Amino acid sequence: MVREKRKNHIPIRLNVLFFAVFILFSVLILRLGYIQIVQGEEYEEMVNNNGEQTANVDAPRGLMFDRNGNTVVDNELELTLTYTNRPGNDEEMLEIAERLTQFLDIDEDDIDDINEREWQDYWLQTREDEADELVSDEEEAELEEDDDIYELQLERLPEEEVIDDIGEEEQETVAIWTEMMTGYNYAPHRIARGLDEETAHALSELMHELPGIDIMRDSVRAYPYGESFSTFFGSTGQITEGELDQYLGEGYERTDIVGNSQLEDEYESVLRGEKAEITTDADGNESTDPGARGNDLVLTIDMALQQEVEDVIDDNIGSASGGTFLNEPEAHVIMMEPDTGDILSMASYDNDVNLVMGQYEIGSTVKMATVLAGYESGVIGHGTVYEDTPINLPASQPVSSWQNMGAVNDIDAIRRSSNVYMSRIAMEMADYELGVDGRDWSGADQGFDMLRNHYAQFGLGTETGIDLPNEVTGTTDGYNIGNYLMLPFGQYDTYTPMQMAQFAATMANGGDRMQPTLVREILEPATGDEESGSVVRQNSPEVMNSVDNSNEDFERMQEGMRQVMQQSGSNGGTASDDFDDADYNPAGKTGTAQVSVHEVNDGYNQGMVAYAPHDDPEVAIAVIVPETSTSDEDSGLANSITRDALDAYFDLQEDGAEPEESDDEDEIYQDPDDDLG
Amino acid sequence: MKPYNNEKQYDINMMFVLFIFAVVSCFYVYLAQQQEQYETNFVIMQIAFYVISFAVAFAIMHFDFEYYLNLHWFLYGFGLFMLIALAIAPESLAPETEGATRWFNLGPINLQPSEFMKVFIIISLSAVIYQHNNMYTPKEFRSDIWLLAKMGGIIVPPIILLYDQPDMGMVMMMIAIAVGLTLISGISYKLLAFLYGIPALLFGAFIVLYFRFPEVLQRLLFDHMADYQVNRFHGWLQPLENPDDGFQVAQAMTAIGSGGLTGSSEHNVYFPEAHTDLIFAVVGMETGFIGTALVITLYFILFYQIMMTAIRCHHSFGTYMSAGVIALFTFQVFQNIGMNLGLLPVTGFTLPLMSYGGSSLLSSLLAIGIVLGVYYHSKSYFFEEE
Repeated sequence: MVREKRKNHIPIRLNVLFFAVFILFSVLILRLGYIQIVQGEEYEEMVNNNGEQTANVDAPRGLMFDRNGNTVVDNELELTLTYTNRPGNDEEMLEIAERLTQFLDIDEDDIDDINEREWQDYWLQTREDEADELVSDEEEAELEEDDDIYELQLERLPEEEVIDDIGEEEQETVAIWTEMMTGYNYAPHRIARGLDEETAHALSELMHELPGIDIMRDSVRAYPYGESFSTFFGSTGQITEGELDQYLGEGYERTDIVGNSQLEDEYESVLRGEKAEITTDADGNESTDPGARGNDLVLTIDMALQQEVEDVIDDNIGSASGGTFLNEPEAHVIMMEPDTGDILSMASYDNDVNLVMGQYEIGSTVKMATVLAGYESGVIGHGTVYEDTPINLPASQPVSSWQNMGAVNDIDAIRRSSNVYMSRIAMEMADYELGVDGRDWSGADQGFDMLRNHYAQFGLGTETGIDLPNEVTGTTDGYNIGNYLMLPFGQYDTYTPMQMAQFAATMANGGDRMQPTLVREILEPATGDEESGSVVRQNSPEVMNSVDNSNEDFERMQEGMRQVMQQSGSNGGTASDDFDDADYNPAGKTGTAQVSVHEVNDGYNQGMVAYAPHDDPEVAIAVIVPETSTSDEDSGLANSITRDALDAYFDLQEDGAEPEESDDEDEIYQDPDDDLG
Repeated sequence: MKPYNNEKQYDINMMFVLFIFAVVSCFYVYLAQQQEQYETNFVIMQIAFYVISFAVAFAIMHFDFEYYLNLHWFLYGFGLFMLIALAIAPESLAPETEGATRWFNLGPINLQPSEFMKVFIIISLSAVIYQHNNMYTPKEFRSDIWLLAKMGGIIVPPIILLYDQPDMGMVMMMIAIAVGLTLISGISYKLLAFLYGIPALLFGAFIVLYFRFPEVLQRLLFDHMADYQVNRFHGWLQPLENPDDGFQVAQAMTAIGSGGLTGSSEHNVYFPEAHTDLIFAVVGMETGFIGTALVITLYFILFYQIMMTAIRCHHSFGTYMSAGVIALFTFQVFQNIGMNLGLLPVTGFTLPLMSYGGSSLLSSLLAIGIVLGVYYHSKSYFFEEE
């Protein structure tokens, strides 16, 4: 009976086992129900998307025209070799790189660009046996982790030896291999641009033997006028690492070409083309959305004037003496329409970006704003007279004008450029009484704020609103009492050339601060027979603010500016020598700021703001030539550049010359980035 | 009149279930090979495998299972010998595939010793339990512990060898068989609760930590593990967020989900191993919930048949072996389908009787053959005593 007793537990236990099986299977059924019935539709949608293949064909970017319809930024088609990287195909990549050496021209620069780690990685990958010998078996056993062993191998591999060992021909392979390695997985990556037709043809025949390799039609920028204004057209290129997330969020792909700087960047959303889209659904039907070129920009720039102004700068700097500039030669000119804010030309020696990003003490050119601030605050009235004689006050820098002028009124102070007059206005604003307050400059902070607030109404020390990225606003935050009396004649705060230009235009039009702009209109791309496409957006002139002063205030200052240029003789205007024979009725203000370049006060910033004609201004101009020597013969650069530029403007108004196209291929097709080819 | 019928009987019901499995398996293998990646006609091969495997099962059926009681050490030793041979065999005989050495490469045939070992383990464990229970009556705590020790002694050597291959899936399978058999062996529930409750609690704690307090788990566990091991956990528990490690699972789940209630006619989810490890995803995609539920029910019927054999058999050795086979299949089915549904980590288990493949089918039918034999050699009483 023992046996029977023993058996009795079995059926129950079997049922327990069977119950466990039942529970497990119930879990499966529940999970299945959830996935297939509850979430079924979501998954089905995912699958349908999986099945649809979309290929995008890049569309060219929009063009840029100058204000007269000349094409200043154009597109050229170019053949580009791309490689699509996949994980785990190391050997295949090496093989492809080697085969590509027959087709691509690798020059010294490409090989110089390869860094140490890349040389080492290549060497370790291609010379496995020798790589093993670098590390002894014991070390290998000790380190265990492959990464650590690799690190040790790298350590024992001097760069020079690697390069010597690789030999010249193979170095080309390394250059291509390095370029192939830089791409993201599964995304085509440009490895060589500007292939000629023959190479492209030969490569496409071999394409099936070179997995991952493809040839793409790219459109690249061409600049018919060469270097002219090229800085501010900006550059295009692959999306940079830092901006990747933002662009991906906006629906870009990693390989897309985008505007990386200046106008190309600022107007990226306008210029970007709409890609052609070829959609293949699960059944293999193709449908095509043709896409479109991006919209075109019509710039406010007059390319003919731009070229003239660039020549003016080059000529003036070219004829200057060797010691004129304490550092590299530098000069900036901006010309704009006072009524609209349209920028007609903006040029720098050597095409730098300091027009909107450099900041300078601009000297006496700021004086009109100081006097206007004086009127507005009530500390002076029209015709107020001060004695121009050196002032030397406790706790402050001494102030004097370039000559002792005796009694001067507000207009004289502009014409003859009196520093003392300006400092007296500042003293009034700070409630500082001569001979009474002594060291007590407690009102200076109030004076700083009053002056700066008024300057800001002209754009000085604040954003001008120019349609370029990365505008700077100058430095206007010091409250050093010792420098307070220097502020009203432009020797403390710093401003950008663009701010000077806005100031000049505001003086010219009698108090409306116009937003400077480089783009006049946005056009749809022209279709076949049209001359130009329809207007998408017109930039209308934008008044950012009106200066608080009355018209009479402005008329007095404009008269002062006229006298600067047109009243000659003793006690005449500071720029009358250069301008009294000009036939376009100019008005303006000179400025020379003492700056310390290598030693204390060893240099001048030469500045000028001007406009013409005085009675009906067409053009305003701001010029700054920073860090020249203080010698007399070098002192007239800003004046003569202004004179020549205004002459050029009015000459062009008469003869309407066309800009000259460049014939230097290197200038027209600038290298977008440092790919091979 | 004899109290029982000595006529040998074929288990016709079981054979019918097997036949349905063969048909269903071929049907889904056929659907799987419609995927562009395959050019071979697997269906023909699968039919051939079924015929051969069934012939083997039929032969085994006629072997009286009571002889296993004398033979089991020999079988066990043979299995162990094969595993040791695999471990020390040269690369040419035992190739390393994806970092693991799991089978012999003998010309046209790949022989995976662990597939046979799992059947031998069932036999050996059953025999040990049977002999133990005959020797120690009534059972008491000490004898229970002694039995557990003996069972442990049987499964530990192959587990060490399998761990060394490495083949964690098979290690878990061995443990699952042992767990199933301890349940049947008559060890007291208290001891069992203690034995299985603690690991179950640990596992539950792991899952809760993973989803609720990942930083704690990171500090306690993941910091001390190799990256690839950690990634496998992530790939298992979050397949859609970790597409590199969870690619198979994500694709399989997508395929199953897209099937909906009745299946979808679009065959455009690509996943690897569609005809073998991931055949269940094909079932889900092509025939939807109805198909998957039917397949699971089919397994349930199969287990019910084995169960009936176990109960019907009055020789408890046969009962133990049948229960072991249920544990074997349950684990394998649950593991495979669970993997397809993202419930369990990826292991290389086929879906028994469904997946394409000769080794898998042969080893499954080897186990079934034993159960058929238990039925065939059981005496059926005319008058069951209660």
